[in-house]
Amino acid sequence: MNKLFTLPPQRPTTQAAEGLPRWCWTVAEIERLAATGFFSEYDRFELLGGEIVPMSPKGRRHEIVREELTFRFTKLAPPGIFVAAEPQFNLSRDTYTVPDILIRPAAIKTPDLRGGDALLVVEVADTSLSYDLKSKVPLYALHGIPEYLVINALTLMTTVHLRPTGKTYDVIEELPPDARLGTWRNRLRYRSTNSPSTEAAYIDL
Amino acid sequence: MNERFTLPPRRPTTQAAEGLPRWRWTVAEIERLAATGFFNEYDQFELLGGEIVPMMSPAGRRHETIRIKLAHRMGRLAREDVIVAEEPQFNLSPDTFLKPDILVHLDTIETYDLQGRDALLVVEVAETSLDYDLKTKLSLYASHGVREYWVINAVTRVTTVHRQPTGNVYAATEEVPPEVRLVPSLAPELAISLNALTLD
Repeated sequence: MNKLFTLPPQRPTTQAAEGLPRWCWTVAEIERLAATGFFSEYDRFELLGGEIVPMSPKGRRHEIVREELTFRFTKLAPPGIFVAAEPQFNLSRDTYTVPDILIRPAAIKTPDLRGGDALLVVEVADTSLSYDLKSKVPLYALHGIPEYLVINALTLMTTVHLRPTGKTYDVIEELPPDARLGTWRNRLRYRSTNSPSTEAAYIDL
Repeated sequence: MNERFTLPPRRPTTQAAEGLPRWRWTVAEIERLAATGFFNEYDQFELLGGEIVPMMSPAGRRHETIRIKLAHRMGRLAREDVIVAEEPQFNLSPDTFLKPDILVHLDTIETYDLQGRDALLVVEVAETSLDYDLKTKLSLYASHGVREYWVINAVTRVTTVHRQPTGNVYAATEEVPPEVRLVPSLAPELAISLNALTLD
């Protein structure tokens, strides 16, 4: 008789050593560990400043918004533009994130992509809203990601971040999901009032 | 010609993900990593609730002198069946191990298999880590049932003696100056005053 399949239990997280200086991993080391089969496919995490931060399982709403948006971006992408879904985005020697959507020039493969080369990073947030808005904003800004969207999966409000300056962005705008921003059923389109002039590099959404 | 020996670069520490829920390692996994040759001998660390916390290195002259001489003297005073272990890996739980400066226990159990309550005495010598030893480590030792825990201030040579673990604190705490004999309640034959050690 077949054995009943059960998912391995979610690895518990920890903050036991909060306030103490902790071990710092590099992207290369994590990749070495992964290559030796150390992690299972259920172990999804980002590496932030050398620290392994597990990703929480995503809710239904999150997944629907992410999927639909990825699909539409992919169909809209002109030649020369690549839409990457949940890629490992290496920002530095000890940091990588796994954004929901990463849009980049097709000529630069994701592992070689530097922050400043990326065109657009999109995070869909349900329970992780404050995390995506707070922790990730300085990270993406410091690495020069020119445009960063955080879409609230519940309300479909989008926070647009443009023009990275130090640890933040010069332009931060909240856009509602109405005339300017279609719902996930329609094409996502927006036009920010302060768009940089290098539109040629951007998908016309 | 011999290749020049260079130390591997000192690994930096991080607090980049402070406030975020982080990956929890188990003792077993860390040992698997170690077995594959992942760590080098300069990577000295403890595992606190699944988090890798590097140890201060070097520990400091005063720290080392007290640790070495105290362990040496205790070793000579100890009965045949009492182990005085220096900087052993003390596995407190599936996701925690510490490396106390001195750990005293009966020979009936391997150091590796000890549980908190099996320890007769744990000693930490603190030069720069006083706060860490008095707070973080104290609550770990207490909550895992270590019945007697000393923290020796390497600068003043005053020892804080903790007994009666209750929850994650000790009910009985006593400050003992270096001229007074420290008497481990579970191994009184190891009684010693720090001044009696030739520390200078």
